[in-house]
Amino acid sequence: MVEATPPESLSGVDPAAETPEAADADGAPVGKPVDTLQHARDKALVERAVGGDLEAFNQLVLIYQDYLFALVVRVVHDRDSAADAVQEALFSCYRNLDRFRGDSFRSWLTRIALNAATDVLRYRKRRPADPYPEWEDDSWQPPAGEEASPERRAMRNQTARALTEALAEITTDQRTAIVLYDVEGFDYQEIADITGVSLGTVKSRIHRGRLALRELLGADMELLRD
Amino acid sequence: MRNSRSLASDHRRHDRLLVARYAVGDAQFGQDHEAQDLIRRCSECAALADDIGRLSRAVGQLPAARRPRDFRLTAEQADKLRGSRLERWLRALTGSGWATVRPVAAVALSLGLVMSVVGVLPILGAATPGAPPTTTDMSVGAAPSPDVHRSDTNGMEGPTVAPGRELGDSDGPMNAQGSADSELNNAYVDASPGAQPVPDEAGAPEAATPSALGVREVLIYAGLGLTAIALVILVLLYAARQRFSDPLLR
Repeated sequence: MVEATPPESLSGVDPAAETPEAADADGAPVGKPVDTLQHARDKALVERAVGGDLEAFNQLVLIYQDYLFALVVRVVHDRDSAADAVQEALFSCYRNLDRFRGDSFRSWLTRIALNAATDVLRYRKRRPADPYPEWEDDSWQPPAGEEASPERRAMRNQTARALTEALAEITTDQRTAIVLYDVEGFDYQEIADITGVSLGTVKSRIHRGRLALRELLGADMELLRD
Repeated sequence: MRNSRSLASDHRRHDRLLVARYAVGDAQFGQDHEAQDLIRRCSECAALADDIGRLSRAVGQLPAARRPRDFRLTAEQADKLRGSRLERWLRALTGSGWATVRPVAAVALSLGLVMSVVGVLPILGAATPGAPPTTTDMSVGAAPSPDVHRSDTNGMEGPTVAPGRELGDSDGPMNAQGSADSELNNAYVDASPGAQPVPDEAGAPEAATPSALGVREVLIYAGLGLTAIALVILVLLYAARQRFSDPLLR
């Protein structure tokens, strides 16, 4: 019988597993292009979940929920909406697990999550005045190994805020492509498969998006040059 | 020859997309030299190339947001999402089943329509197997099983034309056939190679008429039935798809 409430060790927020680059429960890196071992692991879990094993599906959720939220929140720029989108994506994934085809469960899940994020953007009436009110608190995971001085940390926060705000200004397609490529480590072909566009379109979105980012950052580009 | 100062002043006209591509190694084949030339001779293009590289790295180092909650499913949520057996079946039908059943139903629909149309066409009689009697058959008075059809139309039992009797010598109800039947009979005879014209009163060719009509009716009704069934299946599939298809799987 599947558990209704996960054990504390699984449900609690583990700082070591908060970033997409963190290791999953099996120690395999998540957030970077998955290898065949991860494919095999995911497929085995999917098969068990299709057979009615909720615990197997929740293992998949454990592996990918941090990655999914980090991805979606960068696309929709609103934590609550991002959480709703991730939840909807996982619901949809569970309902349609038997329709999963292909090698990469991660790519399939990413596509569903991005569709959910797109729906959020489509139906959202207005953008919040401050999309990151919690920027200064500990809701954001500092980069690994960041033990710098308060001044340097403040500068890094300023850079991240400027960059995030600029990301929010470019088109959704460009932002999605840039996040998938630069943050999540997908290659061009994977992004093309996930987003359903051609390879050339993916490259064009990324390059034009970077040019747009540079224009939007303006003087704040100096923060990156330091 | 333009100097670097004039190139820099023309930066707005430079292909910045090319520089952005080149900065991350994505310049298309044969464009490397052009990009290198721009970067070497235009300081703003060189700065752009540097910035693109920094931007890419900086985006990759953006801090990740902590998820606000655990997204694992509870057993109650899972049961609700899984749905009833009927819902699961319909969901499967709208998924992979849709791809399989839809073309089959479409072919059945087309076939049914073709059958119905062919059944309605008057030319069908010439192509109906078993219906047209041959001259040889008529000469010996052995009409191809006309008795059953005759009994259908006139309520008579037994053979219409007795063996050994000439066609046209028949009497009684056989002579009471209408002109419409006679026209169809002529059509059959005319269509048969080597067939002789048969008088309107002839019994055997008239006997073939109900047979042809029977085949035509079978074609029409079977075609209409097939069309209706295929149409119902398609409509049900479409309705199920509208109800159970998941927009997030688009």
